[in-house]
Amino acid sequence: MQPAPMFNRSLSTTSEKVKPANFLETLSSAKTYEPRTPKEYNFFSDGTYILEPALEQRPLEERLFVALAEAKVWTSRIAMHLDRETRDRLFRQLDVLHDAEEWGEGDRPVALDSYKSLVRAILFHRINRRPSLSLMPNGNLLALWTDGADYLTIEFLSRDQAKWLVQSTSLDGPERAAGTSPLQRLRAVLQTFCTERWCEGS
Amino acid sequence: MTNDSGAQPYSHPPIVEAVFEVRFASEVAPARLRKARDWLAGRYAVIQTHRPTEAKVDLTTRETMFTEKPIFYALQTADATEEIALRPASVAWIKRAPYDGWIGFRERFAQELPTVMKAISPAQITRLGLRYVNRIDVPFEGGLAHYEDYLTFRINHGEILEPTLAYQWLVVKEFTDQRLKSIVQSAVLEREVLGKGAFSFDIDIASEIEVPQKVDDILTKLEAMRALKNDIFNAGITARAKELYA
Repeated sequence: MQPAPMFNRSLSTTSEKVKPANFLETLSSAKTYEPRTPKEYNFFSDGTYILEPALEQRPLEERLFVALAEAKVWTSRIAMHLDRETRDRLFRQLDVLHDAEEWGEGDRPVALDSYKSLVRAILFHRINRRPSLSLMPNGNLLALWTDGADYLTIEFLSRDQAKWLVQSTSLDGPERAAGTSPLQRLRAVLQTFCTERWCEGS
Repeated sequence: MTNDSGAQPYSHPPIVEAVFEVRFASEVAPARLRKARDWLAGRYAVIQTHRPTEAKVDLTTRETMFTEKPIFYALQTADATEEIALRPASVAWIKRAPYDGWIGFRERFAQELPTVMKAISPAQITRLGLRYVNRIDVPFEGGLAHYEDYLTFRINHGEILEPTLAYQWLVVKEFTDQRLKSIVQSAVLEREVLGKGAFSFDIDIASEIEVPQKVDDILTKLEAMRALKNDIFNAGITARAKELYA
């Protein structure tokens, strides 16, 4: 079997939404080795760049659209693990949160990393009970579950972290707790506060 | 990926993105591209207009020259799963996950291709491309994601590099009897699902020789391209991988 010759990736049918994990940046520097820079990075070796206005310079509606589109396109990467009802509900909630007519000055559209954390938590913990969502000024998503006077709020942070606040009432009275945890630990750390009622059900 | 009937055999297919692309010998006039956009506008919720600028940097004189590049359009459904990219030298139909099967995807461009061809006519087609990007998420076992249990095509590097941190390969082959070319790639991907590693299985079938120019001939050629894509997919993944998405 012959190794493939130097191959210009741009020959393939346009689609680069799924990019390999980037291990090139971990390479030791070596002058003899210069990997070809793919065209999708909009860089050409003759010093030519293809540019578009920075997101911040574009009109509000376009900025909101780009943020929504990024979240929805990212969802396609994990859509095979997400039931359609959950996906549609998430998209509806995102659309409502990004209504241009209700947009406040200084508000930031959803941070993609926060959205990823929310979806990853839903998948990992099989969270069936859907929360209300709101958008923090920094673009993070805040999920809220309520049960009478009891509640659980989780702010989904980047890097698969979550900041949570819970109130749960027992025979001894209400109890509150707060913390920051890795997504994978959420169910375990909230176990004391009857996690099932937040995660199970419809 | 699909059976002969065109129905989707998997309840959760691993297809992240399917693309059908038509490339032209030269750039289409902006007015014609605009006409294609206008004719298709009613089928999509969102129309994005891209106005790229080329910046040519001369590092010797420290001067930069800016040139306006041709405008191009991306028309998208509200949920971003369907898109058509109208570029000066190519038109691409994109279907992102969830993928509902060949019938629906084919129906879309069977309906829209005649509209596009009429709007941009005359344009010589130089390449047809049908690309399916699959993403296989595999659970970690003992801290490792055993991609070799899911993919039959792989690099045989021997024990010395086991376990690998990552891999990437690309194979190009011409199927001369069918006048088709395949570009098949696989690589470790960024993890998106907690507790699972992931790799791609990316199959691009191209028609670059005796490329059909008429809509009916293009659609016939596409069936042959799809059949080849399916053969490669079925030869490339294991029964265990199919079980993940059954």
